[in-house]
Amino acid sequence: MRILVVEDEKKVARFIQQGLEEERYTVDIAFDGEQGLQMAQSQSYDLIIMDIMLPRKNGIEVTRELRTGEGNTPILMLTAKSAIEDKVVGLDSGADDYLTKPFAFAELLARVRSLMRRGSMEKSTILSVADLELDTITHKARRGSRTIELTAKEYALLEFLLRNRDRVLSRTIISEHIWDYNFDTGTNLIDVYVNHLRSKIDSGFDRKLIHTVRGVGYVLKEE
Amino acid sequence: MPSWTKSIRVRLTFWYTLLVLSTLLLFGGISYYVVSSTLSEKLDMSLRKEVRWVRDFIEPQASKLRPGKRTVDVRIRAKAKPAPPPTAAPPVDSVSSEIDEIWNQVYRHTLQSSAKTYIQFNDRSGTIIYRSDNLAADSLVVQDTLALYATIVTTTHIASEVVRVAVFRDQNFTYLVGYPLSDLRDLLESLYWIFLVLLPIALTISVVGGFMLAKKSLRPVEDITTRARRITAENLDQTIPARSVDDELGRLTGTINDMIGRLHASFAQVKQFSADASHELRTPLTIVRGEIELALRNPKTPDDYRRVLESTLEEVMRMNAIVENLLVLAKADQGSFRAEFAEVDLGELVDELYEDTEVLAGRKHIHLELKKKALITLVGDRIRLRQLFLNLIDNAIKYTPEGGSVSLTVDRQDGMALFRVEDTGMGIPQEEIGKIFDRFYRVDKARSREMGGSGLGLSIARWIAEMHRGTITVTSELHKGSSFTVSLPIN
Repeated sequence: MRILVVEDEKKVARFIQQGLEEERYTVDIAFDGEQGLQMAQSQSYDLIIMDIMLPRKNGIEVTRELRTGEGNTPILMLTAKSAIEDKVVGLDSGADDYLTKPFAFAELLARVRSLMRRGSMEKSTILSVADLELDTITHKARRGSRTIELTAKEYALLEFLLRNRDRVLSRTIISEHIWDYNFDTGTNLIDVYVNHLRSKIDSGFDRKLIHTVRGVGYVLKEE
Repeated sequence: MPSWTKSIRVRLTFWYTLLVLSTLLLFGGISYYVVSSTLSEKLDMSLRKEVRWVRDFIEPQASKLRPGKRTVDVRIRAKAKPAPPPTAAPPVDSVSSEIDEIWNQVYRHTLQSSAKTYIQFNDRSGTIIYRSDNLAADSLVVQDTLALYATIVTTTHIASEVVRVAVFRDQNFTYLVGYPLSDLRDLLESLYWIFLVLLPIALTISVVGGFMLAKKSLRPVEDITTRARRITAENLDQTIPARSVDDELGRLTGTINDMIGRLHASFAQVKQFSADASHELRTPLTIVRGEIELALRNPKTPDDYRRVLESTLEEVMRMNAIVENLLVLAKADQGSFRAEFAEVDLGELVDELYEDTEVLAGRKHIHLELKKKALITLVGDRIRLRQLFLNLIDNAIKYTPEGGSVSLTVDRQDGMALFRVEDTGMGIPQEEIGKIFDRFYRVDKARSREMGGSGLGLSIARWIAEMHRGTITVTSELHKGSSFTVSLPIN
């Protein structure tokens, strides 16, 4: 899952990025409102974390502009403004949630997970298909009675496939949601990771869950 | 103090009524006095006139009147009115008919004035020779000693009646003309009663009217009170509706509104300041909390921990600086800051600052130059002046790119000491120059934080300059540089 952090305080942006990456998210940073707007419009993100007091264009304006367009990516506002009016303005501009600085990092993560769930039909912290289960908090996967250890990227890939089960996902879409801004789509890295994941999840089971759609991409489904 | 006296309305009515009451009493008293004395005077005058007339009428014929003669007859005849025409009763003798004619004329004259006028003549011995019939058996008796040919007016009694009498004496007779005072007394009594009845009516009207009047004119005050009570710190943007008339209450409303406006402004300022202050402290707090929480979540290498500690220490130092500066400004705002004024040698102070800041400039390869140093001594707070100059030099070094230059000048001009810092830095946009002294205002927020600025340096600098009755002026050209000049009076 890929997250855009729009935050002008470099140190704040950096530790949010580090913390989210430790949780297997892919994170891009924009340091001002205009850059944030441009990145949010040109890339596809699963979540945007937006500061309000930004140079060039503030977070409220950026959110409004995103909402007047096609964008329905969940937006979490993160700001030092704690007055109720500020929260109201923030939420009314189109944000989905609001967190005031300073915040507990665990709370930020919980809110991020909650917003991610809101986007999909899945309301549980455990994503599942057939006898495959993925715990989005502990990042552990389980198939039947077997516990499966996943690397960060494998986890991210599986979470994305599970959240979009029964949907055929192109390599481009996968790369956009799992890899960051600087990913080179010319490589076959995605196929490599899908194969790793496949060997951990499907090998040894009769029912295969990850399927290749020739010429298009991959789909996770129960058959 | 009883509670009713707390109402202006009641007090106004009370004083109003008291005023009306005393006016009425004064008016009544004076009217009564004037009427009574005027009437007495008039009566006296007419009595004097009357007695003179009688005397003038009788005097030429005095010889005809013999003392002690026919007095009773005269009275009886005079009683028969109207006087019989001379033809009706043939005269008994010429003398007596002549005398009768005199009495008749006197009697007729009497009729012209008032039926109540008493007329009486006494002869030299005091014997009554004529009295008008309304006196009946009574007689007018005067105790006063009577000078010849003089008219006196006095008061006497007939039976129970008080009578005012004018008396004139000549060598033959004493003439007395009287008039009962009861008439006058009756008149004055009715006047007295009129006042007595009018007084409570007037009092009632004035109490009720005064109360209504006070109520009506004080209603806007009630309105103002009610509205003013509704205005609290939360809704200071509200005002009391202005009155259309520019009367006392209109001006009061205006004054209250002005006061609310000033309160609003200062509340807003305080609110903005505390919001800014909390925002300023929130950012480093967020970083400290976030970095420490993250460091504790998963095991890290010693280098990572070191980096986190360094970074958080930096933030703690920043918070420290902000809090220190906030305390200085809070003291300044409260007016509780105690400056220690003494002789300060500006040249020496700037020399010292030059040495201290040369290191800072050297690190950025900035050329720091002491352009001119006039010998100036002024009375000031050395520590604060040092802070003021240091803030300006520090800013100049911060916002000047590597290889630039910063120059310092101490000069004297028109009785003012000038301290100027010029740099070849990034400059300040024209539209922002007015705001740079505002608390927490930053031209470039991100840059300022990276430089470790608290956003309060220039606010403090201006406060120090003002404390010394001085000013700070700024000229700047974008991308070329800025010049800050502090002017302090030399005294």
